Amino acid sequence: EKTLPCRSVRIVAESFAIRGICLEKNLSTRHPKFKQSDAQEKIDKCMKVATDLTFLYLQELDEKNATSLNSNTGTLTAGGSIPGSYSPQPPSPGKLLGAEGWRDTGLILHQLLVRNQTSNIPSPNKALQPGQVQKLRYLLGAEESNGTQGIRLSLAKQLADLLLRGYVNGPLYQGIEGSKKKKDGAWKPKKYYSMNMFVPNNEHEETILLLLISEAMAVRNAVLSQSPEFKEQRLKAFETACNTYNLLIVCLARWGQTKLFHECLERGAIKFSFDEPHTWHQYALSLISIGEHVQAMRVMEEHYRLNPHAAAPCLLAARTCYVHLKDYELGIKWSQRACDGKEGSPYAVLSARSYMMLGIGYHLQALYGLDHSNRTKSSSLALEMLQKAQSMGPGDHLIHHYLALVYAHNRRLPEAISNIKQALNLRSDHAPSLHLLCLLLTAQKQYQEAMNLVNLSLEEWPDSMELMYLKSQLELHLNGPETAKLTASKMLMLWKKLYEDHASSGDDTAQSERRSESRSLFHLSENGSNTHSRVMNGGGPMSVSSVSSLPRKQIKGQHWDWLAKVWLLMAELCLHSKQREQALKCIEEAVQIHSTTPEVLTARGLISEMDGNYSEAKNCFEGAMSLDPNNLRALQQLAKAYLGLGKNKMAEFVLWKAAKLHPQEYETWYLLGMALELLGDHIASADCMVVALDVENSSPLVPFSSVGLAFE
Amino acid sequence: MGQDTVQEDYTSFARNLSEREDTATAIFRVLEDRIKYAECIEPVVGQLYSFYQSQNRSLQSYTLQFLPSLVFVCLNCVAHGDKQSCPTVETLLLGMYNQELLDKSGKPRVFNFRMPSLAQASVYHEPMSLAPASLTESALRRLEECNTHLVQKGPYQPEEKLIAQNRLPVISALMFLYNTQLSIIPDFASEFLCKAVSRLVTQGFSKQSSHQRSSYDSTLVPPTLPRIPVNSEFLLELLTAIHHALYTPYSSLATQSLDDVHFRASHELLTDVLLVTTALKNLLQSTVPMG
Repeated sequence: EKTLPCRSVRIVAESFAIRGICLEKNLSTRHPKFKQSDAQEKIDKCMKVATDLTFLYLQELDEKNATSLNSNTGTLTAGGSIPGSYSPQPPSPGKLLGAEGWRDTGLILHQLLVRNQTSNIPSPNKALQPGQVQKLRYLLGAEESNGTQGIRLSLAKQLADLLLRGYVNGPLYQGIEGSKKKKDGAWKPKKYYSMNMFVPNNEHEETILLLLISEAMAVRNAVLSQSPEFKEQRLKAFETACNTYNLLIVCLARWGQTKLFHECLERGAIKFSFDEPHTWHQYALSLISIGEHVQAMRVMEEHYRLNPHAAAPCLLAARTCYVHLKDYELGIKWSQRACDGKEGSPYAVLSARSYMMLGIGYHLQALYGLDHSNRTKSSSLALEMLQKAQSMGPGDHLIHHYLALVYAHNRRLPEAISNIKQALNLRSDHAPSLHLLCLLLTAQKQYQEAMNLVNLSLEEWPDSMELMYLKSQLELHLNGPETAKLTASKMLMLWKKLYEDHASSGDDTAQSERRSESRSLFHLSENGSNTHSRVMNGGGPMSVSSVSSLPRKQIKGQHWDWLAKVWLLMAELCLHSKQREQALKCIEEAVQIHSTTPEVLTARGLISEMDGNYSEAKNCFEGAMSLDPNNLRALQQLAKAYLGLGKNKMAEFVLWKAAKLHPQEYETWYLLGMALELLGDHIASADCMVVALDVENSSPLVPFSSVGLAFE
Repeated sequence: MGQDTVQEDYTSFARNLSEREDTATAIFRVLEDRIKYAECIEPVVGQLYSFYQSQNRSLQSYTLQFLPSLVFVCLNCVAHGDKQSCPTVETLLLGMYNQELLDKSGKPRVFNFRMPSLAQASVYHEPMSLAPASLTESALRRLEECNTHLVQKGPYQPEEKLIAQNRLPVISALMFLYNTQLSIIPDFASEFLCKAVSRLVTQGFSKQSSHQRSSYDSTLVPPTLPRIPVNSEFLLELLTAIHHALYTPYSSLATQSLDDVHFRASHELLTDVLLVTTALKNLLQSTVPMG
């Protein structure tokens, strides 16, 4: 082996290739069985040398072309392989088949390359050939040249696929020996080598690396032109790229790295996926998965245009509308589309779920819609849809749960209880159903039973903030504020525990959302860190400042909502035990998380009210109302403040509004009765009191709306 | 010395055992129909547990191959509301989980790896030819983090008993362990894996009569059976195992399981699982060969 001129390299390579092919032709006829393995070894060796030389030849050819091009014209490097640049014209057909170098290599070497490309394709039902992984690795280790681009894409995908299938993972995985130098010998091709190069340590690193490389190459090869003459090429390139993306998500999803997949799609696939439903489907789902809900809806719309029959994406869109965008109208529209979907799903239950989603939409509209006249209509529509869903898909605990919820909101307690019991029969440890059942028990004034149930539920769900919150409220009712405070401080500790868990699990969703919130937090931890922390005499081991040292980018919006909520609960409990100062500190904590929410302002108002400063209290409640005109608590408190200030007429006005919004709240009617009496309208007052008594009969301790939206 | 010979004995015992396909198949059958073989299940599961406690990797792998079936038994019992009927299975799962919490040096076991970035040269590429297209802000961040920020699973918390809250996380962690050993789990175990997965995700769902498929027995399951709760993490681990099974002689069963998981993910609206099932289904339909 000695250094040869470029032309000779080719000739020697061809010689070895032909020798190998001839030996192979002889294999079955000439040799007896026992000698075949020897012969096979010879063939493999010939082929290997031939391949090495071909790679070397192509690499040298590239170098020659580059220098001659540069000296002649001074333009960019040869071929259409300039990274990042894309021309509307697709490359020549040969390139896609991995034979761009056909005119460079000649037929013999071209066939050799194709042989290398296809002989390794793992097929189902076929055992892995020994050394296959090593062989693929060896071929991929050689530096890319224009002539080997196509084959490298194919080989990288094959190797990634093999690794992903788990044939060689875990105990059987053998690491890569990174080469120590650029070139091993005169007849070897140049290999990738640099000082700080990334050498995969395990199958996951290697798979992801290979797929990222394949993706970059597939995007480079993509055909953008939509003109009919390139159709076949375009489809082929698209499918190759599509396979790469499919493998990529199969690999990444398990590790919660959907964000990376989304970036790849957005950067590469979308530009050549015009009217391709599969890519748009994956794109929409990845957007939802990483919490980009607004954009996800736009992509969903596009996917719906391409594939209007799939129910699941519509349902996903509807859920996004309900939970994240709070756009109930739009959610109902999507649910309706899901109901109309005609996809031949083997299960009827999916259409049952579609109607359930529609029912949930109407229910939310009835709860939060601004137009009062439509609310009753929405509510009855919600019931109708849920009942339809129930008849279509019996045995679904979630449908029963929502039926119970709608009945509960309409104060039809017996129906609600019977439905919630069915839901729990179907899934005995469904946390939201347990929560609702507890509330229903309190509506029936069975507080002790509710307490027992909460405690039992907490045994199955010790980390449920919702249940803890309810427990604290129940304790306040049954045992007074001190016991409740203990539970509240447990919630703070629980929050810290959960939060740290999330910090370590390293999920990457909704990062932008988090960043904005964490910024305000970080900001405040700098100035006021020594307050609070010891608000509860030893009972409040936690404050915002003590958690803000945790990695900031892991903060999730929902978690912070909970922390604010717990601090406000604590404030309320302090007010109950007449600890004004502590309550104020708790509110401070909540303010640090969300400076202006209706809840914070309401809590502030309560303190002013306690001080007897009604006009200040009134300002707070009015502020809360301006943020959320439907906030019942603020409305009621505002009316109280008006009463305190002697503005009975104003109080009456506000209360009528509250009663219209939430006709099932006894406190509103009670206050209204008071106001009317002060105004001298005794008959109307008595009527209101009767209503109050009547409504109180079926009132839960905490509003039914505290049961969150569940989709599990 | 004594310890070593014991371990050697264990290993050769395990080797003999795993050569006997009929024994393993019999154990699978017992786990599949725990009502029929009610009197066998306790001793069998007990034996599997003592294998796992032996600290011998080969014996542990032997137990591990039954994991999907064991998981199904456990979850099915819970869904039926009779947690009492399979206490040994629960003990086995919990014991396996707690045993894997710490590594050999006694530190909490964490599985992690670096997220590769095209901006850094590797054994398979150099950034000049590929990376410029990917020089986005997040790509740069990833490069920065590549060697410091790790993608990881764990550490896991010890659990005293299985409750609603930790059941699926514990089982997912075990399935993750199962998946790390996919390469040494025998092919015939794939058959039982696929059956267990299909039953697990479709139990309690009745199919429309016009669309009955030739699935092995899910059409016979009356709709009154309880549905078994699942979550994303768990299904993703199951899919990894199914992906492996797709390329064994049981590929048609695996395809069926994939469809079943896809259906369940659509039903539960699990975005991440849907991404994977859609991708896998698309791969199977692909006309371009993998190469």
